[in-house]
Amino acid sequence: MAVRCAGSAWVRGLLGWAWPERWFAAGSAFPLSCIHTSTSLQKLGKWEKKNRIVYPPQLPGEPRRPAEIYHCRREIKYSKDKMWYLAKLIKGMSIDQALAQLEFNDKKGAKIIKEVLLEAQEMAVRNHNVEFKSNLHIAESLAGKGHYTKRIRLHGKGMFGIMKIVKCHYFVKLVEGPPPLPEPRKTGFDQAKEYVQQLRSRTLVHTL
Amino acid sequence: MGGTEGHCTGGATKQTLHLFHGAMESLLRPPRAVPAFLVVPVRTKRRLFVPEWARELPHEEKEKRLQSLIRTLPEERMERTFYLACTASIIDPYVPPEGDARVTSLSKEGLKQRMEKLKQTAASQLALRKVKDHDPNFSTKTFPEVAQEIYVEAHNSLANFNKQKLHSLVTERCYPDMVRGNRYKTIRWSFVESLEPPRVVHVRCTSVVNQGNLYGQVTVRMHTRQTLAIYDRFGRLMYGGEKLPKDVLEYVVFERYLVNPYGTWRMHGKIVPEWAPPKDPIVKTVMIPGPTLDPSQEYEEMK
Repeated sequence: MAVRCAGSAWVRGLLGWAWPERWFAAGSAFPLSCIHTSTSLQKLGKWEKKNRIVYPPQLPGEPRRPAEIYHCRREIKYSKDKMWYLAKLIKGMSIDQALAQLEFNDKKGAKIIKEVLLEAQEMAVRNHNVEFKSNLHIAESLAGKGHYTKRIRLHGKGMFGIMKIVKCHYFVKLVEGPPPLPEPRKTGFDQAKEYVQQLRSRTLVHTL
Repeated sequence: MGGTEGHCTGGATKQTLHLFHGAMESLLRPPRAVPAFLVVPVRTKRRLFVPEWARELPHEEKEKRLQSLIRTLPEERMERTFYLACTASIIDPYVPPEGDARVTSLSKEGLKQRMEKLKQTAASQLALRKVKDHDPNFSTKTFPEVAQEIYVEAHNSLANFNKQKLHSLVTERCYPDMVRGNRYKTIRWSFVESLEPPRVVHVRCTSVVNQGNLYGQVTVRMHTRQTLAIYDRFGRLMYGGEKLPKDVLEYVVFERYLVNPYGTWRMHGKIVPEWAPPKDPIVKTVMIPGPTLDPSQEYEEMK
């Protein structure tokens, strides 16, 4: 029964969202008769899609799989080389320690990374079934190059240079659990032991 | 005139003459407040001329013209029609009696509950008659089994994420309630057995938008045993258990678009009574944020 109004809101939401990637594929294809009334969202990057994988239920004997949360921020107005220093600073810390370090860091990127970490923490607790928000550590933290735009920078005497307006992306992967212990440094004694072991494990050829 | 007056008296003649003259003058000019200088406004030349056909009409004329135009204009074409396949809510929800399924059927109260038949409520009877007009095969004795089948099929297709089938078994109002939050979760549901035979408890009919656009809603009482286990994105158990059967008493509402000859009975919603026991808690601990404090305040002081 056609109603005397022009409304299309409910049609839009019907089949607009993507299918989660499952390890055991359901294998049902969408019919082509769906009505796509809205424009599709911007193309999702690989890092955002990593939040969509679904693992099959664990058997009772298996150790509990730690939760992994991927988050990123695109096109930050900052240099990727400068952002790298902050990303390297945070790698391997627990989330509380990372937030503390970033709060008292003077760089511009520190404030942005702090926002990203807080967003990721919030997402983890709300959507990804993480129980304790402090029980997260930073497994990976990367800075990547964003889109550069070129502009003219005027010098004296009618000369000009081409200026690049630089943008970067920042990616972070939070994993549930305490941060892993740093590997113990190799002492001189260990190195010597290895050397002796190498010497002993040589095989002599063409000899008695 | 002057002569006769002159004959009467000699000394008062001039005075009377003056008086009479004053009276004559006052007759001719009536005694108004006449200003010393009188300004008579003169109309300026009419410069803006609006022809009659462009002038604004009075309200009644406007309405008359609109009326005549409505008949001549073509009717609005609906560019995007929409089709209401279900109502937005449960109409006149059934109020389950307290202590349902908690009292044994051997005691007096239990017997009373059992004897409460559908025939007692008049509104349900009327609605039932309307439903039978549109769907002659409907009967309160065969429908509960069909309803239970639909219920089981719907939950199975929810567990398997078979969206097309789920849409055909469940109305558009119920679908988001069932599916919300489950996109990245694994659900394992199984139906163990039915503890009591399901029965129809409540029937209602409504028309939406126009008269005669009928939707029928039937509430079925089901007492069943089911197992439910929900796993999150990483395969960890979030709720329930696969080998933990639970007894479930539910009042499920099924709806059908009666006027549509190809309409089917679909699950529309559930009625949760107030006296229902609380659900099991979820496995993880949830933090409830406390009150926001100033830096000077402390939480113990506030308590």
